[in-house]
Amino acid sequence: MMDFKKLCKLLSDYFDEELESDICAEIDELVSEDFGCKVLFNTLNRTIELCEELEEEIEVPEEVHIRLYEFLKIEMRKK
Amino acid sequence: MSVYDEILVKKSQEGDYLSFEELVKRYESKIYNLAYRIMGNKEDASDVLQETFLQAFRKLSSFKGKAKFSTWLYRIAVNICLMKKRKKKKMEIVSLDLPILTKKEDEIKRELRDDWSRSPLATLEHEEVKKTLSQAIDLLPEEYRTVFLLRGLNGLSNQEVAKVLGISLAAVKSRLHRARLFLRDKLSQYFREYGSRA
Repeated sequence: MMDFKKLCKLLSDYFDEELESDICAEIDELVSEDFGCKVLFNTLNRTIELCEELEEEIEVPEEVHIRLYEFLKIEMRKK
Repeated sequence: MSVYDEILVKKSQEGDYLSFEELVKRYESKIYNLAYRIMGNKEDASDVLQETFLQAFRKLSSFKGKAKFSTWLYRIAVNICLMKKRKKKKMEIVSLDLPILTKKEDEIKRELRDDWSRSPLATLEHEEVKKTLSQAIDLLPEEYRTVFLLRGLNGLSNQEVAKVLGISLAAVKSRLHRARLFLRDKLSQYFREYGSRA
């Protein structure tokens, strides 16, 4: 039987779609009936979404890029 | 391993340096970003980037293709990052156990009063939320942050992260989940404080 304690352990797997459908259904049911569970479900889901939005890529600085290629060229010549 | 990576690796192993340069081009940005997030500064990230490809170049002949090239490369990069971090911390006493990161379930439940998920402020356009989240990620212990970054920033699957870090799938899932709960908790704290200020 699904309860708050189990929900706490399984929610990430739920959002990563790694749970069996019957367990997902149990979670859905609990979340629709219990306010605390619903708050945890919604806020964790939003946290994951915000993390995904935050993951902007930083560009490799031009001087770092040039230095890397120069460095590797020297190394390649040694072989 | 993607077919294209596989071809490039094979050609590089045969001495075609242009193919190795192509591999560098494909992964340079991913490795730099990962190193930057783990190390927290551009200087160290640049060093890690250079050292990763140097090691990859030197060890390429021993790469057998049992894992994806990207997994192998990330593993090299993560090891270099962790070694650098350990060197910096060597005077500190480091516990071998993973730190307790999240609260107990009953403690979490007691604090679940407000659903801020649909608040118009729960967006990265709200600078304070962005800052709170970034700072919370920086606060994550290294073991959790590395898993979190590989999963998120580098888009690896749980299985791939397990291979990169040489830990079990269960450990990856557990660390990722605890990291997310920790970040959720920090955001909840922010919204509670914000609510009391408003």
